[in-house]
Amino acid sequence: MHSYAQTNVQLFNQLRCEGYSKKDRESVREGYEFALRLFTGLFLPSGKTFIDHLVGTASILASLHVPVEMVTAGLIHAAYLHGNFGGIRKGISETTRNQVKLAVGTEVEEYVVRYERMPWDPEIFPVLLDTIDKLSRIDRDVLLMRLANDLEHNLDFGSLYRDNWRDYIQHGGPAMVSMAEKLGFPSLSAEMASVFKEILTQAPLGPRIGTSEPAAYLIVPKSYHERFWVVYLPKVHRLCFEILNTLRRIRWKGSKLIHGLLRALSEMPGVHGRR
Amino acid sequence: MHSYAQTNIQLFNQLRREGYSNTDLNLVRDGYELAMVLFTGRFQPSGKSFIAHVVGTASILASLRLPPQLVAAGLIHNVYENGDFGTGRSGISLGKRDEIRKTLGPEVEEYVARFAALFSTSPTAPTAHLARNNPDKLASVDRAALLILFAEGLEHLLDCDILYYGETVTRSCIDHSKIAAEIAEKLGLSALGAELREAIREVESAELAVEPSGQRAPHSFVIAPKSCCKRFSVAAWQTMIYGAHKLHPEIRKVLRSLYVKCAKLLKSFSQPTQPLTR
Repeated sequence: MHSYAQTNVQLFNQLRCEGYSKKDRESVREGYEFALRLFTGLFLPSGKTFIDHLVGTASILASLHVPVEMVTAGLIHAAYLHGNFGGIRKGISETTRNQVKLAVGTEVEEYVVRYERMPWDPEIFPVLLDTIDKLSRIDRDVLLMRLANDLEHNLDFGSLYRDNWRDYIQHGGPAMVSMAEKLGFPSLSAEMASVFKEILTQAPLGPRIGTSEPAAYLIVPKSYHERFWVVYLPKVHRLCFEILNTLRRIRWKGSKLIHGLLRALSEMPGVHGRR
Repeated sequence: MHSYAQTNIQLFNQLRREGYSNTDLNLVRDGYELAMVLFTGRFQPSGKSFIAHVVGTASILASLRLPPQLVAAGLIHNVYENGDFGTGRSGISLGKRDEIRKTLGPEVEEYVARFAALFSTSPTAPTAHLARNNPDKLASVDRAALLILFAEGLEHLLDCDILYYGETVTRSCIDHSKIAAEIAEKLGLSALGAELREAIREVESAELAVEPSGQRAPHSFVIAPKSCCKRFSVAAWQTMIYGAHKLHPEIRKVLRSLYVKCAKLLKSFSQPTQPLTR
């Protein structure tokens, strides 16, 4: 078993051992309490609670002795992708950004929004690797957060409970290891190399939790239910979109038909003055 | 940091290392899936997720190489008190027991029910008294329930999690854990006894790593997702109960006696009438 925290209590103990001040620990606590409200009830496809994954990511960052703002950002790094702000739409918006800024401060929010905006795919890893030296300080920090996130997913072979993760590691693993080295974190680089090697040689694991969800999913407590507009408005929106598309297709086909008829009529003898 | 699992993945890895079979793992997996549904959104006073606590308890039981039914029971040990069955009521009931039996089997459910009965009694109760003085005379179900209780106590002590529950609860947990260590040694589990004593020593000399943000009640709480709201039936029931508690004691007595009379009347209507005989 790895030595990173998986609960908030373990994380706070680790921060104390790593020498973070009382004020730093309190700001991490506030970030954790915000994370509880955003990610409650959310689970990864492996069945692990999303909160545990966030704590693990923050713990990896803390072990690298990064500034406390980055540790806090690690706790809410998926806020714009998976965070439940109570609305219908996910993603970055002025409202959600204001809520995050109010909870954890502007600097932490900047990390989180850049994390969400950073493109992350094995196809572009070579480009990222070549341009690391040209990245700004904050973008380098966000890249480090991305690497910590990927490492956390692979600890304890957690990623093997998802489909296609092995391909992802095969294609992107070496580049991620090099990125960690280039950022100046050789210990992280070595750990990632070791974990990825184990993943690629490990057989698929069971038992699998009975879900076919490809990404994080919500389990609502039985005494609760999702709000009416959260459930039905997206369906109504999709239905309206489909109706509009259908009408557009009908109009396009209809106009094609009319043009064709007009052309045929105009080519007929005795029509429009042709004799 | 201790070496017990705090996530399901760590628990499954541990079970594989400890030599549990695939059938055993499947039972524990079913227990975990039930725990996900019943404890989702629930957190300990320290902020730790309830699921991490039950996984930790199951991990401690697995480290003692106990049967998989006990490990699965560890995953849902506090389900009657803290599990959300959708009724808005806590406590054991026939419906809840049936649900557990259907998913995990009667043996696991028996352990959980016995744990619930034991949890609400004091260290001077007959079972605890028997365990301290004549552990060989304990029934197997009682022994299993006691082991779950000890594992749960140890889990609270690990990482000094119990310090976040307030001084009274911490003191009570430490006192109970001292008795638990003594009983564990009498039951032949000296490793568990030693671990409990070590954890007690750590807690007694430790300080909080970070102060809690506000006043917290010394019991677990639920944080519902922001996109969700409480079901009307549950909210209405809980408001009624809360309202009834606020009423004058005399009015409560009258209402209770009315309720008992109505229940008896309904029961008499539902019983089949005896045919008249000449």
